[in-house]
Amino acid sequence: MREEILTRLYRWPWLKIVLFVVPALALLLVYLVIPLCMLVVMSFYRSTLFGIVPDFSWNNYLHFARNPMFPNLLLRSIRMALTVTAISLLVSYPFAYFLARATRRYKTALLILVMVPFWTSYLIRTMSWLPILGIKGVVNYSLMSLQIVSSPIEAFLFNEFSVILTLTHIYLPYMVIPIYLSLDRLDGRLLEAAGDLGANPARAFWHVTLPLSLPGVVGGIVMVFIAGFGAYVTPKLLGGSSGIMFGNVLADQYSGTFNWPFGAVLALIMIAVVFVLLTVASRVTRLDAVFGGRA
Amino acid sequence: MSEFDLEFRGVSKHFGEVRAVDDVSFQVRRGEFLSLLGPSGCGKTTSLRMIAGFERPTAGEIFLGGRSVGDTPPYRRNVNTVFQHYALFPHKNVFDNVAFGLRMKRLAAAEIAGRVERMLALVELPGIARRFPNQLSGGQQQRVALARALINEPTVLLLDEPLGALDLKVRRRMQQELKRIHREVGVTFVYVTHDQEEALTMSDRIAVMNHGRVEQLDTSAAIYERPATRFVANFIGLTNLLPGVVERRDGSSVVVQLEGGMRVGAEAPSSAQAGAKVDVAVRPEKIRMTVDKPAPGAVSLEGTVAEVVYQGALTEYHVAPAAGPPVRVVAQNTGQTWEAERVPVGRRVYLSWPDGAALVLPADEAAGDDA
Amino acid sequence: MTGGRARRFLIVYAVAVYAFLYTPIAMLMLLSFNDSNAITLPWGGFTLRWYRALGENRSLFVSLKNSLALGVTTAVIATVIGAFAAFAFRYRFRGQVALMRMLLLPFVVPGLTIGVALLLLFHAVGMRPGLFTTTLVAHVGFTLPYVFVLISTRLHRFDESLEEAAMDLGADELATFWQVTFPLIRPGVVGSALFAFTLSFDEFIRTLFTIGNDNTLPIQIWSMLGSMVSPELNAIATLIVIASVGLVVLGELLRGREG
Repeated sequence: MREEILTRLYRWPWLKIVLFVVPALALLLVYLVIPLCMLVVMSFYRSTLFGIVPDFSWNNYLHFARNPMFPNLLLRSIRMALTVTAISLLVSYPFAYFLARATRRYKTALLILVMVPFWTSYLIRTMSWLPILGIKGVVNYSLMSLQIVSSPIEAFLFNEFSVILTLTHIYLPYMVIPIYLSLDRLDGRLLEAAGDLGANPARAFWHVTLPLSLPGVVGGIVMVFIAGFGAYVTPKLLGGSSGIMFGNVLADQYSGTFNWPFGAVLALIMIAVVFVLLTVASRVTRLDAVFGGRA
Repeated sequence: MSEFDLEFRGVSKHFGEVRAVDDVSFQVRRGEFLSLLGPSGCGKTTSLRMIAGFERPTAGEIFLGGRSVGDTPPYRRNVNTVFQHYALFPHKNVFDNVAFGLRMKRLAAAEIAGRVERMLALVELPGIARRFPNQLSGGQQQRVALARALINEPTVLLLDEPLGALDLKVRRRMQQELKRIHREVGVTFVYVTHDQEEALTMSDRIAVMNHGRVEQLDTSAAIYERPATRFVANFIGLTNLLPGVVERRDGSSVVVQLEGGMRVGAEAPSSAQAGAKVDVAVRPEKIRMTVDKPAPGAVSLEGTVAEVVYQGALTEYHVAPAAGPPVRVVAQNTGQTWEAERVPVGRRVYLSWPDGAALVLPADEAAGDDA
Repeated sequence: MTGGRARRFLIVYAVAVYAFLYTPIAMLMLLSFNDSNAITLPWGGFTLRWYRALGENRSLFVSLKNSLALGVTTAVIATVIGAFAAFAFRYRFRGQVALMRMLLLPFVVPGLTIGVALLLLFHAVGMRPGLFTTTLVAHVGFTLPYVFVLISTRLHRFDESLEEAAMDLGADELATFWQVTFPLIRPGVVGSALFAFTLSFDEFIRTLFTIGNDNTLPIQIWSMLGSMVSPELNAIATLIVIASVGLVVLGELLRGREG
């Protein structure tokens, strides 16, 4: 029996591949493909007082388009996510450059220091800003003890500012790591060659370093934008009413108002935005490489 | 049981469009040392991997000990391989590496210990059983790899450029060692190499491969003395190819008129008929070069010395005939001083060679001289 | 470009970024020892009472136990499935690129939409939400791409002639795996599993939509955040951060060790 199986496997090597692929494929079907199809189906159903009724109507999409609140919220969330992405990029590039140029001896430790917050719960990292930014928070406490202000400043928390600050804090490593990887891969001799050919450091950076680190930059932008745009916890916890984001309204359709079909529309719109970004990004650089694919 | 340990019958292996091995047939006798020789990409390693079972032929059949092994996976074939970079298991010590095959056969521990010890003695590596591969020199790793393969008493031992990674001195010594071990164990060896010297000195027979085909399979001497194709003549050692036309046929030999108008006699395959364009192949060391004009009839060519290259034990002369490419001649430096002995550039010389030293090869061959 | 002044600037700059990354968590840890009922300053003296309070919180313990069990199960299953998939990619086969894209897709689909979509699916097939049914599927799906990428990176630089050598010496597929392949990639596999565990342990948004009556630790914290803000939360967070960091550093060390 065993010999039989072994001979079969040898004669038809593709059997082995099928065996290896099937579990992952099955999981992806259940985790990703079928649920996404469900979203599409659900987006055409109707939500009534008596529950959800199967239907094929564009009403949910029209509901989104007709009520200016939703498109406005979408645009604001995109703008917030873009702001987070832009700040992250500006902060991360020099930092990643520093990491890539760090002495070999300290590099691993410095890198692990970047990864550590990356691997701690974003719930906790979001939470950690509460005691800092609150009315009685650390910042206000310090400002008042130093007598810079006389009464606590409320503007630190429960608004767009606190959401953007916290999202930047949480997702900064998403930007640092891909840029670092692309800079680290960069051959130092290329810069020497550029210098040799008469390029001053600024020109060498502009013509050699920057273009070659582009895949990392694009990867970072994609990761941070997706994470920021899809945020739920941070705006819910720190956003108050003015810092609310698209994800919160989406989630409310399932926990508050129970309008699942409309929630499905919102989810599909969220995914669509991400895919528009991915399409643009894939025009700029090969995305497979960014995500570690090695087909 | 067949008298052949290994047989290829019309074996081909295609990788997509590429024909790595193309309709190859040959037989290897028990206990023989066969080399597969050729440039990289000629199909020699693919052939070896098909014997081991790592690749499956696209067409044709391979027989091991008279049995077709088309559907037999590597671990059920009684062949073992010495890999190019040894492929010793880095997480196992020398003893465990060598014992691996026997453990797979579930032999008793005591027997395994005894056989490993004997095998390590055979490859002259006593007392390193507890060391790990990364603690060994290249030569020692090579011996461990050999022991690990041989301990299983394979029908055929496959060696994939086993000496390629070693430096010249160690390589020479390992060549001797391999020959000794081959004699002692009497196992059939199939040895892949691109090094013609290694193949010539070690093999009973050599299969010269090019573009996935076996160009010639014969003893070392026959391969060297009687190359069947231009490729073989060029790949093994140096040879002069003098273009000409067959004038007449005379039994097994022909008379060829060379481009300069001179006539030479040469051994020829039956296919070379009068009027055919051919090359006359002569090894440089077979040519006798004289300054004085020898007896009429003995001269084959005359020309002027164009270049003299001192090579220590030998001197290589490039002699330019009236027409055609320069002819290389190699002479032993037997005189007292080289300065006194050498023939200077510009001197008119006469070239001759013994009957049968020249060979006719068909001039236009598809499988060209890309050696 | 990396002249003395530019270099010094970069170092100062990097210290500032690290400070930005670490100050909130450090503050949280510090405040977890603060003898004050507010979750923030002023400093009221050192105390361990918030940690003691944790010890009396039953539901916290239950959710911790749930998270640990779920994390271990997720890590084992995701590692096996991910390793299988990674092994497939050592061969060439049709649909390879499509499968790779699909395996990497979960990286770019927002977790919130996945959580919602899973809710729809489980509801449609009438599956009652539960820790080891719906949530497990969500967690294994979430961690699979990470495990897959980590293990295939490791396999990418695996010398396949070692496996050929084993087969050549009479080891069949399974024996080759256990004797040669696995011992050599073990650090990478264990590291990936630890990573998957940490991801699962910290996962929130996909859990929120697929969990039934049981709570995981993040869900428990979330509900505590909604009801009362107590320094106890600082204490929990401190412990979780220490545990996660410890695990991940361990995993990194394992993966980093050449094997």
